[in-house]
Amino acid sequence: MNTGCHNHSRRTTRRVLATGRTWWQIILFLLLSIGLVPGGIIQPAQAQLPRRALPQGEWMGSFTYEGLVFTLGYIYAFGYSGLANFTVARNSASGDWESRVWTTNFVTDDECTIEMNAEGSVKGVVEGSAEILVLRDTDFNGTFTSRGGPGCDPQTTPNLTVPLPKLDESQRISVPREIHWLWVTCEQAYGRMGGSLPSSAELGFSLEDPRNRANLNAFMRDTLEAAGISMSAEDHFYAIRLSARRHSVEAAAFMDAVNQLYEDVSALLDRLLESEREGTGIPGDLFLELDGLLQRAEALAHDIRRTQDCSFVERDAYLSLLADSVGRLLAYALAHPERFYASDLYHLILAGVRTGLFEPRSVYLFGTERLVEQVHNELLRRIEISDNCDALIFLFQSGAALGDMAVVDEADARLVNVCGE
Amino acid sequence: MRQYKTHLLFIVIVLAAALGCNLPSLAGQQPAIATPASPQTAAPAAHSPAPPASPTSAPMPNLSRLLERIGAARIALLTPTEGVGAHPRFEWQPVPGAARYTLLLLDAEGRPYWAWEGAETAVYLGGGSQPPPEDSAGPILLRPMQWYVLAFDAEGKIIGYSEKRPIVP
Repeated sequence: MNTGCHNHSRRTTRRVLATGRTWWQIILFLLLSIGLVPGGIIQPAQAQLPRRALPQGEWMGSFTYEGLVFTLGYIYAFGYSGLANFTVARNSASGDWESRVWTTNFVTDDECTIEMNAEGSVKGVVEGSAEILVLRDTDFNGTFTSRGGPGCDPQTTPNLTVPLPKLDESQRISVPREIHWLWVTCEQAYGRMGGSLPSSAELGFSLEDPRNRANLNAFMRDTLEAAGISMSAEDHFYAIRLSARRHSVEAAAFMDAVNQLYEDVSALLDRLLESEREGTGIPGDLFLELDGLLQRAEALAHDIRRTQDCSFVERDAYLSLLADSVGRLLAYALAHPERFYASDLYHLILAGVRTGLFEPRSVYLFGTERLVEQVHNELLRRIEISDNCDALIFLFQSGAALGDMAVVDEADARLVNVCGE
Repeated sequence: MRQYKTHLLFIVIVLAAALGCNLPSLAGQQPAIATPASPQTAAPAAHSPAPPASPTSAPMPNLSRLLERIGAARIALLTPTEGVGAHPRFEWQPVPGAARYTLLLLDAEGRPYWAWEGAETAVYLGGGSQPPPEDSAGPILLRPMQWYVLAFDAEGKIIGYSEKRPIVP
């Protein structure tokens, strides 16, 4: 099967200071790399989401899954990128998938920086039902490499390239990844892979005792969320019913473009978080880059046909590929109001409208109602404290873009008070 | 067997680290310093959820006057108001000094239906400079709506605006 994978030009890397012994670090990383390859843990909260069923037919899915794993002062980044072909019957799904997998880390110890990578491919089967797909791994191959930088002692940090050891079924801890759909139309579907944000679940891969696993995951989740990095893991599963694809468009190429789009969105979000950690402002080209991503998403949407059974309401059949990503970006802005100008909020809201994020006729978009309410409150809060005419104009326009007349009226009244009109 | 032992050791260490140690480098992060246009230090006010949208056909006189006063140009919208089909091409007169434009398409009740942002002075509904295929899965114009455009200079300041203009497929 063509995986549709491509070289990752971007690697999520994190530098952290560590004081451990080099060999111990390598062994730990090697173990982690092996362990990450098979499956993840399904979060209980995910199981409570409303379920959506895929229409019957032939589907192709594209997925990426990236995240961080924290342990012993190290931060490991990992990622999946792959394709799935599957058939949905009345209430069952079957097929196969293949994914490229990588893990990477930089460890700095005194003057020595060691780069450790594991890279390989995973194959598996698609199981489950029309409501919840299950991706189960069946095989993987990969290589581990370790390279010491200029300041490293070759005796203690030798360069290594070794194949990842094969584990038999009894040794591997293979937990199926479930796909929970956020929205499903008769043409497309979008979901998250098992283990919602953040991907702290990955850390619990080897804890067979469910209570330990739950405790550990809860602890990691709380820690990450308290640090405001709930976007640190990006995962998505986008699927298209093959009959909806334009015949002139090659399926694997289409999915590859979708995957690349999501990876670039993920990179954008990573940069935003990186800037927060470094204490700098939001990236100056954030909105230009977002605009480019939106254009790519729109171009991809043109490759999807409005099939007969999808045309009953003008927009029910359409949800932008990026609606969920823009929603995350907006949620981040709301959680960090000190980092965003009123004009930034306006542009994010506009991106939300453009992608259909606030679309009242959308089939389903998890969390949209709450997001709209949060945006409404944030706009009113800013209007109340703003004494800047430019900011108030943007807040007014933000309300207008949302069709939120309460915000428009408040901004209008405040404009009179502050700006003399 | 040895592998099992190593795994076991790893599990113990990971669990101990996660449950017993203060994980470094994250919890202590300070929020980034930004310099917003207006102070953002006040705690969020508790407001009720947004009420249902109401018609917005009447322009806000205060804002229009303010924009006029600050020298914002009036943008002429060029797209016909009727007979434009399901994927109309929105077009407007360029504004001198404008680096970017935003377009908002609203339904008859004033609810947002589609938006766009870019440097061009024309765009098809659904995005792009080429007409989307008639059967594409993007947004389409099936009933009367209204649209307007704002222009921004390179520093992001509004320098132009249009009135809302009806558009009928």
